[in-house]
Amino acid sequence: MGIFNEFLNIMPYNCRYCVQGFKGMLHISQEARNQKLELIELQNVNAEKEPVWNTLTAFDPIFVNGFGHGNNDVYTGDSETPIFNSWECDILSGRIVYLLSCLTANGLGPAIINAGGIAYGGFKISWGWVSKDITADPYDDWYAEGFFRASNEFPIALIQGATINEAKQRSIAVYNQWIDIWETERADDPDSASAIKWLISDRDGLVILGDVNAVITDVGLATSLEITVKPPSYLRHEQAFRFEGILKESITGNPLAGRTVQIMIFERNTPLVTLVTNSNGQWSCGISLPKGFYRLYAIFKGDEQYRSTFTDIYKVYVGTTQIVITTPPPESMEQNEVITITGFLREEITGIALPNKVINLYQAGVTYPIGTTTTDASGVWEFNITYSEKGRFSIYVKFHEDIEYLGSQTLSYEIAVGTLLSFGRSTKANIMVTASQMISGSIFLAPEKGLVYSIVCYQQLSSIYRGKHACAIYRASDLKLLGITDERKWETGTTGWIMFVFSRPIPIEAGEEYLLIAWGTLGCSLYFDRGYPNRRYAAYNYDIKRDYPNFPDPFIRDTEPGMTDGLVSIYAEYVPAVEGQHQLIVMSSPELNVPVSTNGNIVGYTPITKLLATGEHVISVPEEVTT
Amino acid sequence: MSKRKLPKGEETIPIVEIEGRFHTPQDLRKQPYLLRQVLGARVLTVSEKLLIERVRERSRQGRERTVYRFDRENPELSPEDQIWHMERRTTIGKELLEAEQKLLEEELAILKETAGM
Repeated sequence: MGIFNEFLNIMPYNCRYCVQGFKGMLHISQEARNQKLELIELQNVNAEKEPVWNTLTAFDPIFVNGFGHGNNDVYTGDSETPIFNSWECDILSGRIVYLLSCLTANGLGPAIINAGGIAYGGFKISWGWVSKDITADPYDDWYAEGFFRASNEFPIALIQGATINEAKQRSIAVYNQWIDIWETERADDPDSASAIKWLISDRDGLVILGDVNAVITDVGLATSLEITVKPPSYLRHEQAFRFEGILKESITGNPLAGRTVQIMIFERNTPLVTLVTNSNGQWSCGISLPKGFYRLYAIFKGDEQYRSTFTDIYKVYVGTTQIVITTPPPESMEQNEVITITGFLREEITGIALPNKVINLYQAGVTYPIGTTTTDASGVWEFNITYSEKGRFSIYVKFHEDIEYLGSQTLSYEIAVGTLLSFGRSTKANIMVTASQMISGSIFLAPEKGLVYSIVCYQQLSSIYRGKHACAIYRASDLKLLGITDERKWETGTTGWIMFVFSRPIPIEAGEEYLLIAWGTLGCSLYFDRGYPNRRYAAYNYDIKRDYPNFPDPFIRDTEPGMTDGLVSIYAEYVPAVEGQHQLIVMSSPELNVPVSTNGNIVGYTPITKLLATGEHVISVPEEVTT
Repeated sequence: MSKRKLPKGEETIPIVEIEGRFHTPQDLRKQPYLLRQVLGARVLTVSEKLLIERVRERSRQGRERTVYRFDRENPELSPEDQIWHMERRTTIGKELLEAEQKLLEEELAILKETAGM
């Protein structure tokens, strides 16, 4: 059974509907603080499966309260990926769960009880609400207040010591109170009928399962752990440090002697150190850690007399590094031009320079380094880069982990070598259409033979969501997938032309039509115009959560007239084939990165596309490769 | 304690179907005999057509609000979306029909109270 008086509140924030839910959950957290419960809030990006499961393992709270999107079998977190589902919820064994989500009482709720959960509260319907301002604190929102106060009453009742059954009755009483408000003092509001409808629906959809007499609190005295020596934020590999504190009774402040305090690393089950407090309630230990990133905390798990307590989590970086580019590459360069990029390597947090460290230069799609150097006495590194062929290349610089330090790498930088031509639509269209619920693009004629290095499309990325997106190219004649670009992530909202680069160029033929398409997670939109019959290719059949980023091969389009008319703002960038030059493509399977030589010189690693002049060439690969 | 009354505008929303004709509370109040029959009926059969018409009429009057839901696939349903789902009897549509039926039952109860029955 989970530890009494400990409460995990799961609080996603990512989507526009979660913002109001998040603000509603703050009222539950506040009540937990008022009642001196041990509260753990996992907010925003921490409201995801891994942090939730790790927290449940580490702190073992008896009560889990969560809100967020769901369906019969799934409850999801910040990125709308599952935290619990009907076939994976054993972590909730021995706990009490309340989910403000849709439909979970139909599958996930019973599954939690079957997995050993003590009790469950949640909804058999899609919990709905109306709101004046979807981003406001619901308690300040004319319409949303009643909905959130009624739902919150369930966890608040538990926090105040009520049983599951009492919590349900209290919640229903608040729903009824608000229905009454809308039928009396607010009956003249034109939207009162809407408010009443959804309050009734939510009230009648509330379900409890399991032990209806279960509670989340017990009668022990509250305790606290005061930290007197915090762990430092940065340490060298296996450098020793101290972590000290005092265990006290919360209300009187009296020290608690002879109690067991454990030093834990978050995400690990077993204690790093187990200590017993002295006559002054003090505990103290010396620790050294191998290189890595740690989140340390101390916990007193409680006993017959006293409630459990734990400290804040302290982030400790041991031997972590940061590689910085001071002179980044230009966005474009000429063939055979030499450019220089520079930067330095330093310890993270302290900023101390790291000399004599090996630094590698990589190109996307090639896992072998295309350059290697060593940092000087000031930690500075430098690479000279030249390309003999036109194209667009993505490069990054990396320091690999060594005995003392962890590795780090820079962002990727795209370089256009020579002038790239384009085919497709490079003007902005007017109609915005989702790219998350629908994969879509248009077909375009390739004007000449060449190699496609990138796709550029006009997109709107919502600031409410953080997401991922990518593009792909298909041959129009058989809708065969030819290549997928790199995947991009966005953190903030933007609208404009966005470039996606292929890790290896895609050959195209003159006079052949190609389909250029884009796809992304929630919040990603494209632009198109109507009036171009049969030029648009779109499909609703692909579930973004299930299928992305597995682009369909072949592409199966929806053929309803509305889905086929249109021209999307998307184009491909390519380098034309030169008369007398020919494409050499060498693939390997199952292993990649096999060195390929032409006329005795290594020219790259599989998969590789190279241009060769008319004439005789000797192409060779090793008879055997070791991986 | 103030008395319950029908939410604003609901007087003009159909609440019952008799022989294929929809009647609003306003209509019923003009025909006391019919009103007594409706409120005194043990069982009232409610058609999906009536429920959809109620939402459509409320929407026409600008009183059907967008509903937000913690639903993975359809987190926001405008009045038009709601009517679309109800007409096609999708899974969502069935939920919406059920919610509308409960509101109708609630309004009948208020009507009964205000009629002194």
